[in-house]
Amino acid sequence: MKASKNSFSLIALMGAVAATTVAIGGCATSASTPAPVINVPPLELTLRVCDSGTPNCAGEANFSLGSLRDLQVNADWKNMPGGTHTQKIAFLLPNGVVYQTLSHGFGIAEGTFGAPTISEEMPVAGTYITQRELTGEWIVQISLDGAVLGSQKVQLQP
Amino acid sequence: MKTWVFCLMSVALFLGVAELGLAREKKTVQKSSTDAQARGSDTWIGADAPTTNNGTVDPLDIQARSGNEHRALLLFDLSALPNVGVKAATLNLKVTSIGHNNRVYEAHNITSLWTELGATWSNRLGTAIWGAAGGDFNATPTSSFTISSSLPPVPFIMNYDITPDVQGWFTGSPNYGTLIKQSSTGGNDTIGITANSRENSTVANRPGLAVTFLQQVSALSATAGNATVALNWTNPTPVSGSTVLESYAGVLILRQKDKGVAATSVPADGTAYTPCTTIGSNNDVVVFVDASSAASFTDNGVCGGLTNDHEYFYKVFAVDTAHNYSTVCGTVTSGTGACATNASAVAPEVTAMPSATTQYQAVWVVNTLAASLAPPGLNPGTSIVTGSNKLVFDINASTGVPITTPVSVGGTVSGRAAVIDGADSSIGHDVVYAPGQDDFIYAINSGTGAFDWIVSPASVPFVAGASVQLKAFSGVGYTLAQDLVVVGTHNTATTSANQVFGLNANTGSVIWTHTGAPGPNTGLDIINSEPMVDYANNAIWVTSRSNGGTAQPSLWKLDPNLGTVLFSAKLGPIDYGPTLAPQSDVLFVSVSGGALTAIDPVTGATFGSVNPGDGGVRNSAAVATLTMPYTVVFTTNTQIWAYQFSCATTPCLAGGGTFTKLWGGTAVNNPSAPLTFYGISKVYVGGGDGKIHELDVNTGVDGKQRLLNTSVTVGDVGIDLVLNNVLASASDGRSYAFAVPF
Repeated sequence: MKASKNSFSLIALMGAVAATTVAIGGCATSASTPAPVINVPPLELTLRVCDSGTPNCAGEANFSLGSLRDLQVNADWKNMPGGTHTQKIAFLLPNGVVYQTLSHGFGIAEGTFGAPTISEEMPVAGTYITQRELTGEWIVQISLDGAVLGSQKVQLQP
Repeated sequence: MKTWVFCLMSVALFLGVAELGLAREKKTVQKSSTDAQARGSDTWIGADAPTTNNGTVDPLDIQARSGNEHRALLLFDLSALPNVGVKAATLNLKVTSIGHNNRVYEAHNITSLWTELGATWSNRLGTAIWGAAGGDFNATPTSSFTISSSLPPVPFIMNYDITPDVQGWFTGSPNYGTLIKQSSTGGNDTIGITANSRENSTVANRPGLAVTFLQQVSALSATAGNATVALNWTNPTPVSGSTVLESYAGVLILRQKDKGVAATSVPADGTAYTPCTTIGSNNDVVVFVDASSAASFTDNGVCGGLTNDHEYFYKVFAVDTAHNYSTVCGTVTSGTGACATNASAVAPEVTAMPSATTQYQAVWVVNTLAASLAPPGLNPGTSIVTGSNKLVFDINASTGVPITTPVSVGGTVSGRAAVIDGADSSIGHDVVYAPGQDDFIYAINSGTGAFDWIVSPASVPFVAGASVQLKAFSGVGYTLAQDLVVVGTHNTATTSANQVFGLNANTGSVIWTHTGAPGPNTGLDIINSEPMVDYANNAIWVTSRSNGGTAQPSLWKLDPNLGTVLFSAKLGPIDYGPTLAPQSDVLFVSVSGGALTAIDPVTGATFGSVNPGDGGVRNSAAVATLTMPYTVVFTTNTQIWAYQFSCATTPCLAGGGTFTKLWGGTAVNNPSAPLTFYGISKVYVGGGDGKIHELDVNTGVDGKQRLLNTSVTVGDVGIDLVLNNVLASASDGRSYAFAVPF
């Protein structure tokens, strides 16, 4: 099991036309334009990729197509702001082409910060992944509310 | 396991939307007598009546009263604009009443499929609930509209720039529409606004989506010669009902050798290019720039020459007089609303192989925006239907041009779509049946792209395609009043209790269900291939895995009227569909990594089997002869084989069948299922080498190949015998057609 921890800021800019910019949440920043800022705890994400048959999934990076049933991705979020959100998992082939995406909407009570775990499964056993041995280094890419937040490499072996 | 920590800072809010007028055509899609918006929908949902549907209600109601919030859902049918590069998109609502000032109304991209007559605060369609009550959407609004301190007089138009969302819908993201809600920052608001819905009797009052775009060229073709490639295309003419903002001027053509032009190679709007410059990190070469509406270009080796026996990809962009290109790029230069990811994926492309002796070219190439290896669904001579992630493409079989914008479904369609001609279907029109991995099965009117029905008979995914038993082709033993759609589940949570459903093809209602049960003769493991309809024996054949061995069945014969098991066989795990001989007297079954087994389709007895080694059999077999003895073609890990199957007696008896090798194994790396049948003298196989191989059915000689793209895996092939094209999708996210014979 390989674990890594990265930290960076996500700044979402929207629209294109004349606008008034208002920061309505996020970490304290040193933006050049002063704006009211509300301090919130940093959003954390832990990604665990497992065979769907694995009890107490801790996360793996290598899988054998001969035994893998479904590829299960568990996203453990912390400090998720209140409101409605959508998580998207994209599975990219070793050549970088999208193979499949899985989206999941979820809600956190307004005014609170939640710690949901969102699990998704991509069927593998018996699909074209095993029939045509689409082996190699796949990328599991995770997005929240339309913004790509990170990715993890997963090795599918014959 | 990987952990990230983020700091969220958001977000810019905007007071209004300005006109974006740099691109060429602008058309507002809005339900009218000339724009039926067959796929369009709108409704509003309320937390105070969480199970109430308002799909036929006018007006839409939006408010943020605590506990009683109302939100509007809108979906526009963009099928009038199937082949465009989107530059801008503005959603407009006509507000008819307003309560309070200092409120913000947000537009969010919806992220789950819903239906107009199914959506409520709790549910999105049928009994399927939203992930979060009140709708699934991206938390960050795409655009916002602020009611300032002074209330505007009603009615007035509320505009939202949703360009980034619409760009996404044209570059691979499903179109589930837009949600309008009042921002919670406004606090409790017991009144909110009302806005006209598409049910309003006056067309001008209804919601609209104004899209600014450039069309793509069409009918793009290539003809390879000796160190030359000639391209021809048809320049666009304005879409009916559009406003022409600027004139089309010509085209810009990018070329790449031995691989595709990158979807990220995007000519910059406003920039005039000269030949032989390169664009993007892929170093795609500008080989032709034209401002005189040329409709052809012959590449004789400009910009470095053409090397014979190498594949060349060409991508053609329409361009207007202001040097806007038919890419999915907006008018801002960076960030949201600039270029979509893979902004040039939608531009038409084609491939050609110049050669002194063996030149060839693709008939057409279509970028389907995600990889699929399933064979295409065919309506020969008319359309090619292929699922790609959550999109279902309907492609003109002659030109490769998408007939309409792809249909967005709720989950990945990973099997072959079943395409039924209206003349044969009990539903009475051309229809596509596509099971999804989101547990739903979709029936799509292929004339409009609208759903005929959507059902979820069980909360488990479907990875294989559906089969359809047509009433029109069935004998008297078939007693159902309409066509039957048969699907099997891929539920890895059980090795014994998977299910097969028989659905009314007209309505989607479940006619019968066969559910496996633990036990040596009843356990039903996951189903990975589409069932097969056996008209002669009035049966449905289903293959499955078998819990890793031969202790439970993997071949099932079901009664199409009742779903009862007529017999089953314990052959070992099977991931591939069975193949029925033309006389319906032998069923050939490929046991995964095992033997090709010949089964009596009446009694279930085993006639015989063969396993030539090389890791055992994989993929479905194909039969090349009309009558016994049958020439059966099949694949192993790296080879193609043909055996003659015959029987010592007529009828054949258990154990009385014999496989005699004709040829093999012809080497093809990681082969797909072979395609051949009586009447053609070739075998077509997709390879892991990026090629479709054409083998002689009598000798097995791999005489000719067609290169789709280097370093890709070619999926299962199909053939259109009306147009004489062989078709396949590949792991590069494209579908290809080549003329046959090679």
